[in-house]
Amino acid sequence: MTESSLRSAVDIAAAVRSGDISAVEVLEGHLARITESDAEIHAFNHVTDDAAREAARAVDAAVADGRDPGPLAGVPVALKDNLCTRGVPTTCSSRILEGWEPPYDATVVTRLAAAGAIAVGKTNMDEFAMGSSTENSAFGPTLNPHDTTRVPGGSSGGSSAAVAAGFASIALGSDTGGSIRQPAALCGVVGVKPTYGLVSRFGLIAFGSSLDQIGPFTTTVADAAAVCEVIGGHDAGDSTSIPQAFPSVSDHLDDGVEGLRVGIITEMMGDGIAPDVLARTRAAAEALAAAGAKVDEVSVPAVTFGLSAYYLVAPAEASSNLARYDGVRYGLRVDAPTTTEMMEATRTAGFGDEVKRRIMLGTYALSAGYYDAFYGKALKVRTLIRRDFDAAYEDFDVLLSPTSPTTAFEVGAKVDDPLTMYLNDVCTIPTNLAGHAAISVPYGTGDDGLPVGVQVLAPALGEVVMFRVARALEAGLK
Amino acid sequence: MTSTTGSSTSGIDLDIWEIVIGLEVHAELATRTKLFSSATNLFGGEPNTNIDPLTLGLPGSLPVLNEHAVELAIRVGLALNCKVQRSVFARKNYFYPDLPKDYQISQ
Amino acid sequence: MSDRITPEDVAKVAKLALLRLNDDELDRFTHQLADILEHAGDMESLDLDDVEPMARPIPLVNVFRADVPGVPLDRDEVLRAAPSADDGRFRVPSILGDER
Repeated sequence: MTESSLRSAVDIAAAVRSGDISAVEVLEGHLARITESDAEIHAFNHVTDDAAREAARAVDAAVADGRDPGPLAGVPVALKDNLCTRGVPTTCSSRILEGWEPPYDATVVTRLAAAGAIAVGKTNMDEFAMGSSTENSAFGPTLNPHDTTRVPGGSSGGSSAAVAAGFASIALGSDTGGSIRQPAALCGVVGVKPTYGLVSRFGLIAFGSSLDQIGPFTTTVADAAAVCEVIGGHDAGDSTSIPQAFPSVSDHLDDGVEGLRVGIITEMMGDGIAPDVLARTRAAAEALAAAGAKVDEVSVPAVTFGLSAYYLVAPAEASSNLARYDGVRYGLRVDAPTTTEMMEATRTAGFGDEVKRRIMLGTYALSAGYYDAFYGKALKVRTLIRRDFDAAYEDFDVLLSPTSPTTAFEVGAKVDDPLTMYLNDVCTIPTNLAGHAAISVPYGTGDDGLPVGVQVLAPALGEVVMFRVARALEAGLK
Repeated sequence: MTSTTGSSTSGIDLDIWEIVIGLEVHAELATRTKLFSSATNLFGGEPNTNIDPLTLGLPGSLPVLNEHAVELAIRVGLALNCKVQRSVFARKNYFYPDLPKDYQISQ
Repeated sequence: MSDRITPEDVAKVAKLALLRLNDDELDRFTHQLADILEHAGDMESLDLDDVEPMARPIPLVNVFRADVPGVPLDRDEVLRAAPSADDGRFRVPSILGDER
């Protein structure tokens, strides 16, 4: 078989494990595509080709010796640049961490390596994961491989584009308000935000600690299941890690959807969603009905307040999480006569506009006199959103919605007005606030020929049924 | 503390005012590692050797609470006839060069 | 929520967050933050009196680790990444005499 015919992680791992193809050959094929096209796409901030070749050789040696090379043996993986990788620059696409090399690996990085996956590089993102287009990167935007005049989505745009362009078979991103699912939809790949607490955040550079989750970008639902099972499950290094293994989603992928109850979220099917995206979502609902699911509409009223609550909670948490960037121990330092002046000069020079905006918004929301009116109120709205979801899940096993209101928009089209940009996440944000799970599955194209993704939502720890429905959508796609 | 009628030489009327003195006592718990970090807490070591990602406030680091510290603190509380109650941690945010995360994790 | 956020408010939070803004940024950010907060005003229509705030999605309690030393970081590796290091320590500008 040729390298270029192997794209899915499951296929690559099977071929490498059986010795049908070498991990080195798989890797070289991916590196060649990176060399040919990433100058234009800019999915990567940093390519780790030498280390990757060494890792690939080690996998091949294991196979030759009859040792188990791991379930993802030889699978090239791209890592979002907010995941700590020891000795490899980890920048969050920010000037304030430009060139910083962590002295330790994130848990998910360690687990992927132990599974035999081959890290090929660190991907571009919106600075500190704040954005929906990857245009907030301090190092230039990533372009959508389907149409390079358009954005790949964000904040994990580089990881999404890397998989869409065949630079890596799988990629990891992080999702705080939709930053895996929305770019997955815009680039036509699968993207998963697992239940909060199912994937360790140890080594993930924090944006919103009660919202952040790491998850995979893949070309197939089966690959997403395989990656989740490798990276997920309890980690003693993360106090918010749920004390269990990742649910056995691969085992139940093809169980079908007969009798499953699917609820289309009314509030996510109205104005503000492009007609072609609505059409594809309805087509997905019909396909599930044809496959034996019971499909109906359901109202989850509080989700309409998700954007408002999120843009108080997330910046509040970020203002605290980003306080550590002070020029003292790592990263950028702009010198000044006193330490306070140095910290201020460093932060002013090191952070981009969107980051500054959110830090100030968060500081304001938490400040004396405003705490209850803003942050406190937003946390109560969060409870309402969770309650309304819980009520919906009394009558439905999964929910369905568009992932993104539109297909990929043009580079530069939404940069001037923050609120316009924030509206890209109306369908994804509520899941993060609730701590639930959701997956975006590619489901055809819009009128402009660009990818459309539909979102399957599940309650906390509902991954098994969520993946079943996602697989059914993928299998039945016409 | 005796109360006297009329004022003392400092002008405080002890008929109206009761003197209450509180003692905030910091006592180091006899653990092997720190409260949130698994770095050792040995006294007298070289600077910056008892370190892990959390003690330096490195990006991506996370705190995990030391079980033995909690146990010892509860023991002291019970020994001193205190009421042990539910405890939640919050962040006190301020900037200082020896405060690695630029916030303090406080009860 | 309350009255629209003012440039004075923004200047104050910028100072708290150790961010220095020029006049153009102060003006632009004030408008943008005001728009966002105004949008968030839609939460005023909700009755939140009997609603508990939710700071975190999963109610884990008593998450501990054993009192066992881990593997320390390599000090040289750490200090190599420091903006300024000297004699095993992080070097910073003057702290004494710092007004804030």
